[in-house]
Amino acid sequence: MVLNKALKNKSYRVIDIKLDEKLARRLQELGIVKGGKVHMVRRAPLGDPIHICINGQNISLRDSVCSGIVIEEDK
Amino acid sequence: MFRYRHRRRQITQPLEGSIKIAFVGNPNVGKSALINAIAGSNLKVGNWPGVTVEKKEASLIINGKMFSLVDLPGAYSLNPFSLEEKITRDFLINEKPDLIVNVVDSNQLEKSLFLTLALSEFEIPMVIALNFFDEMIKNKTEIDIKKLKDLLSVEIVPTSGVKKIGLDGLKKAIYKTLNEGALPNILFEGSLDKRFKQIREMLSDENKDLGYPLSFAAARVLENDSQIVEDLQNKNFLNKKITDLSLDNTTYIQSRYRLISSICNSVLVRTVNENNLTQKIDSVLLNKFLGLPLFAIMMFVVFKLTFDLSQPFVDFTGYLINDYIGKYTIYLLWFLPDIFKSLIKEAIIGGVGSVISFFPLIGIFFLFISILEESGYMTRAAFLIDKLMNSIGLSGKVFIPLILGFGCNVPAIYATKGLDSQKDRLLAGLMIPLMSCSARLPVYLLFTAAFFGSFKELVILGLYFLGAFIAIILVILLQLAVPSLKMDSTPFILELPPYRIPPLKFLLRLTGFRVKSFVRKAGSVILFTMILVWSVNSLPYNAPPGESYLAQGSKSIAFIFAPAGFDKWEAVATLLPSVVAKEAVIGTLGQILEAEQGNSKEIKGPEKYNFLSDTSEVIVKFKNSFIEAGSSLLNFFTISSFQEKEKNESLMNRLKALFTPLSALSFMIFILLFVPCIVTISVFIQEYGIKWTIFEICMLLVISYSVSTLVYQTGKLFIR
Repeated sequence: MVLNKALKNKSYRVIDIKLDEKLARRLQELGIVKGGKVHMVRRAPLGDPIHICINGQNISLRDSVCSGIVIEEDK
Repeated sequence: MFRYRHRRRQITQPLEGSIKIAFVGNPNVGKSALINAIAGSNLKVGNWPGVTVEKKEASLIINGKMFSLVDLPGAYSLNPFSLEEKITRDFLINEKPDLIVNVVDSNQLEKSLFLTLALSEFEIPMVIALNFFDEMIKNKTEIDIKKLKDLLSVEIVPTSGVKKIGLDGLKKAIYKTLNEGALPNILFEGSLDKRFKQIREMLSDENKDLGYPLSFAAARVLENDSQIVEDLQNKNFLNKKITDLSLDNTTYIQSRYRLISSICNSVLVRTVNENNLTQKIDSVLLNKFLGLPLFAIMMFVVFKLTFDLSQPFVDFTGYLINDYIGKYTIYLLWFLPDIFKSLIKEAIIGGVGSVISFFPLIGIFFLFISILEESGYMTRAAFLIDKLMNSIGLSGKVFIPLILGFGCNVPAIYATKGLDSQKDRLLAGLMIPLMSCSARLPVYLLFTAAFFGSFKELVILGLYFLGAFIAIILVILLQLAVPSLKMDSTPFILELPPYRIPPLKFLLRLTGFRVKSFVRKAGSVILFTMILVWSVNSLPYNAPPGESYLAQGSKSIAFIFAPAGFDKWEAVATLLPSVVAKEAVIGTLGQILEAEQGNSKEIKGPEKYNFLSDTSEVIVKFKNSFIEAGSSLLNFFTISSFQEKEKNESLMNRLKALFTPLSALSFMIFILLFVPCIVTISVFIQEYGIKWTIFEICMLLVISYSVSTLVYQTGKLFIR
C-alpha cells in the first residue's frame, strides 16, 4: 500500500519510493529510506497534507507525494 | 547616498584579508540566534544578491584579527532542492570560506549528521556547535562528545545561542582549528570508502581545476549526481574507468544513514525518551476539530495586535513629525520664500513623516511574525491551511502574508520573506497589492455612504472579495503563462520543528535591523515621490486647485477613463495622490470640490507658535497613544482601525453631482485595483527588484482599467 492509506497512530516500513529522482532524493535525505520506519501521526483537518514522524522528526507531506511512497505495516 | 552604497559593499564583499567563517546548519537549529550571540551589535541584515532570501552577517575583530561571519541559509543537504540550499552550496564552492561552523541541533543528532557528513566533503576546516545543548540536558540525553570528536576529527562545542552558553568555547575552537588547519574526516562505510578513495585518486590525477573541491566531486561521482557528473563530463574529467565506480544515489544515501545510525548508537546515551511536549501541543493545535478554529483565532490576534496596537502610535508619529517638528522647522526657516517652506513642510517633512510613521507598524509586525516563526507555529499554520492554497498552486504558508495584506500591504510584503520557495515569495508578492488594505477603506466608506445607503456593507464586502478573487485568477494565469513559475514548485515537504520559546531579545534586535533597513531602502523612493506629487499638486504656486499642473494634466487625460465611467478630471486628479497614500483620494477630492464651490481653501490664520504648550501637547498625545493602544486591546472584538472616523456630508453631496452610483462603483473598483501606495512599491522594489516591480505596476494598471470598464459597461446594460 501507499502512504496515503496509512492509518493514524500506526507505524510502517518503507519498501519503495516511486517518485522522480529529485524528490525521491530529498525524501531519502530526510530519512525516508527503503527499510526505514515511518509513523503516521495525523491528517490535516482539511484532509491533506499528512503529518508523519521519522526518527523523531516531524514532517508534513502532501498526498501527491505520499502516493509515491510504498509502505507495509511494521510488525 | 554614499553611505548607503558603502554599507552595501561591505555586506556583499567582506574586507580583503579578513577570515571568512560560514555558519551552516539545518533549518530551525538556532543558527541565527547563535551568530547574533557571538557578533552582538555587529550583526547586519540584508538580502542575498538578487533574491529575497535574507542574509545575516557580521564583521568583528578577535585577537587583532578581522573575522567576517556569514549565516548561510538553512539546508537539509547540499544537493540543492531549494533556492536557500543552492545559495549555501554555491557559497561553499565559490567563496571557499576559511572555516565552517556546523550548527547542529543536539536533540536531533541523527538528522543533523547527514549535513555534517556532506560538509566534510568540502575540505574546509570545521567546528561543530552542538546547539540547544541546554534543552538536550533537560531531555536527559547525553552525547559522548569526545567520541564524536575523534570520529569526525573536528572540535565540538556545546552551545546555546539563546542562553549564551559556550560562546567563548566556540571562539577558542574556531581559533584552534584555524591555527592547526586540520580538515574533518570524510567518513564512508567500508565498501564505499574504497570506491570513494579510488575515484578521488583518479580525479586528482588531472592537474586541472575541477571547479569543485576534490572530495566533493568524488563523492558526487560516487553517488552519480546527474548534474555534477554531467558538468564534469563536459569538462572532460571523467572516463569510463571512473564512472564504472559510480553507484546510485539510493544506495549512497542508504549507506549514509547506516553510517549515521552507527555513529549515533556509539555516541548517544539516551536515558529517557525524548520530550513529548511538542506532541502534546500538536495534539491540540493540529487537532481535527480544534486546529482550524484555533488558527483563525491566532490569525485574528496577530492581525489585531499588529494593526490596532500600532495605530495610535502611527497617528502619534504622524502628528509629531507633521504638526510639531514640521511647524517649528518652518518657524526656524522663516526667511525662506513661501514656496520653499511649502516644499519642505509638505513634501520633505511629509515624506520623512510617512516613512517614520510606519516604524510602529513595521516594528510591531516584525516582532509578532518572528514570534510565530521562531516558536514553530508558522509551519503548523501552513500544515493546517495547505490544502486550500495548494488548489491554486501555492503552499500553505502563503496564506498568512495574504491575510496581513488586508491590514497593510507593507508588512505583508515583508512577510513573504518567511516563505519557503522563490515561487511562493514572488507570487504572494504579486497578489498582495490586490488585498484591499485598510487605507483603501475610508474611500469605500465615503463613496458607499454617498451612493449605496443601506447596501453599503454589502458593496464594501464585495470589493474585498473582488480583490482576493482577482488575485487568485491572476496567480493561476501567471503559473500557466510563465512556465518557470510552474516548474520551480518545490513539492511541499515541511518540517514541523519542536515548539520553542522564541528568543525574544534576539527577535527585538532583528526587528530593529529590519526597521532600519526599511528606512534606508524605502526612504529615498518615498521622498522622491512626495516631492514629485507635491510639485504637480502645488505648482504653479498659489494657483487654485483647479489650475495646478495636476489639474491641467488630469483634464487632458480624463477622456481615457470614459469607458470606465469616471472621465471627470476631479476624479482622475486623485489617482496620483493616491499613490502617496490611498486615503489621500478623499483629501484631494475635498480640496478640489471645495474650491469649485467657491469656498476656496480655508484661510488659515497666522500659525500660533507657543513652544511650551505645543510640546506639552506632544507629551499628552504620546501618553494618550498608549492609553488608546491599551483600550483597543480591551475592545478585543472590534477592529478599531477599520472604524469609520467621521462623516462628511457636504463632500458627499458634491460627490453625488460628480458620480452616478455605477460610476462610483467603477471608481472604487479602480482604487481597489490601482497601483499600490509608494511605501508598498518601495518595499516591493526592495524585495523583488525593479523588474518585477515594473511588471506588477503595469499589470495592476491593466487590471484596474479593464475590470472597472467591464463593470461599468456591464452595469450600463442593466441600468438604462
